[in-house]
Amino acid sequence: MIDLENAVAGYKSFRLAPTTLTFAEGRFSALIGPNGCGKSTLLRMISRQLAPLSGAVRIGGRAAAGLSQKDLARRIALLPQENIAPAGISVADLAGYGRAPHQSLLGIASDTDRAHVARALHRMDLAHLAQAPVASLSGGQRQRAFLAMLLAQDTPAMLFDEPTNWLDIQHQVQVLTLIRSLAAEGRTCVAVLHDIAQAARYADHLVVMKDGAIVAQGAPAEVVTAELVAEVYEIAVEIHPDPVSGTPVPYPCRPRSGALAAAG
Amino acid sequence: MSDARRPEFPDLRGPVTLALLGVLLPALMFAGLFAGAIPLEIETVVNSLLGRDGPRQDFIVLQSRLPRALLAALAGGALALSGALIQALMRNPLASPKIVGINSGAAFAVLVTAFYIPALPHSLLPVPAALGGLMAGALVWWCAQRGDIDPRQLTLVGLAVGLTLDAGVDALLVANTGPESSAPLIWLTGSLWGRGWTHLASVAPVLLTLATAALILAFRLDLQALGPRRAAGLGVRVGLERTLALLAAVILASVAVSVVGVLGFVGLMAPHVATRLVGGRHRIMLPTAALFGAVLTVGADTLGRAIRPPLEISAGILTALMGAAFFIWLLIAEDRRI
Repeated sequence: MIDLENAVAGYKSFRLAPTTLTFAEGRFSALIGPNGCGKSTLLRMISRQLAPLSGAVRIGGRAAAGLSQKDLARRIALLPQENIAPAGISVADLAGYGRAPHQSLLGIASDTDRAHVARALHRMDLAHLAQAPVASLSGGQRQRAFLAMLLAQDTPAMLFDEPTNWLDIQHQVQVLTLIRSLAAEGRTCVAVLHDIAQAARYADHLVVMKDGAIVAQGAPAEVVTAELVAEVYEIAVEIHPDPVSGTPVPYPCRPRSGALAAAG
Repeated sequence: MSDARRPEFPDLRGPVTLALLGVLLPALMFAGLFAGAIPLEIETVVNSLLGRDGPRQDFIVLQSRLPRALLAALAGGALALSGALIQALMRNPLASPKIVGINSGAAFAVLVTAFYIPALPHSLLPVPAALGGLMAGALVWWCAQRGDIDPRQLTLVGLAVGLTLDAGVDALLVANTGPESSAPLIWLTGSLWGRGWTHLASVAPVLLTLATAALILAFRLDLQALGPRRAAGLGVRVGLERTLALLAAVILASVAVSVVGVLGFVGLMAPHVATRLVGGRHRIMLPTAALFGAVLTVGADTLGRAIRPPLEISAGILTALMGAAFFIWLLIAEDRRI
């Protein structure tokens, strides 16, 4: 469980509104909102990359500020957006780094560590590429290799910053399903997603942000309305249920012929 | 992309490379005992090593060429390790102790000491060298420190600081032209000329201690090389570990510089080649880089004495030539990859 209590995330030039929010365990929560609304900043504060300017962040009931770096890394893991790997390491090496918080400074892998890495690679469909250099992978494979590192870290809370970037539809679905199953294992999963329809379909809980503040949260069917999308994204949409899952999907309205001309 | 499925033998690449370098290094050092102004027979060298020959040969082999070979190996290894640390910390394959200004800082400090405090014994020169290197390092750090440290910024500031200190070195040389100024000049080009056991004894403890520490904690560099955010996410206290590793890198390079001068390109080349040979895991890459750096330096020193005896060509000149060739090869190799 992750609790925010009047927590203010931000930098000198840009700060979010005080946030009080709970991400429950066993639930897949999605953060959505337009570009630059502060989703990533919030995620960075939760993972303690950014200290809250005021207020508190608690992870599993304990104040994040009081945890040692290693303790923190055993409780929460973040998949950042950029995925640059150092030269000359293999997929298995990279996944193995996820075990670092469970090892001593020498980084000697135990049988448990190896089992976690093997399972993570298998789960990410990378077992056949275990010895391949990360640098030789395609963008999507690389993203999955970093996801394998996150799985190997095996934390009760997991954060994902746009995890479906770089991925084709097959692997997008694979990753979203993976996050669902991680939540089903009892973990607290929070992902920043861009696609509202995907978020509504796969997440249990949506948190909608605009201009650094949370404007709505709740079950997807309640949150995703034409009014909300109009307010947050400044675009007129119609909401129709997904024919497969029944979850809400926003469809942009046909622009009136004058509107485009005026905009252009 | 096509080689993603290429079968690899990561468990063998490392040991095989290390074993080959481990044989090559002593072989080169042994060969180095023959090269120089006075050619020696195999028998003489072996007898000297076993302590069974006349005083003249003993002096050449035991007092001059042997410590020199050991020193070349040690300094080359230290420069290579320093380069590997810096490249991992800055996540920049083009970073090296030379490029971030450490070598120049050490050289500047050594020259200041040599010219203005001539009473200081030569065996203490590693101290001002380390201070000079640390000062250059701190200056680079301070200039680049605005919130998050951007590796590219750090490299550029390092270049600027290095160039400034190089200008200082030139100014010192010009201001102190005299009969004694040719020795510093030879040293500056990266030469082991006139080095012996006292020099070895003055630097070996520091260099060996730091090298051992770096090799033991190699795994932490793997995590650092992922970048500060990811490393922190894996439980690394980034600020502390980065500072310690950088301190080690600065001291390794500047102490090496204090005895062998500015030996260019070893710190840049050795980690590159090691990564290509055995991959990027520092547990294997660091010892490979260190051995390769030692081989390069011993090779350059031996070659420099063998080309036109009794003339000596500075090892630094030869490593610079190799470095130039290496860069051109790297360019072509990288080109072919894409």
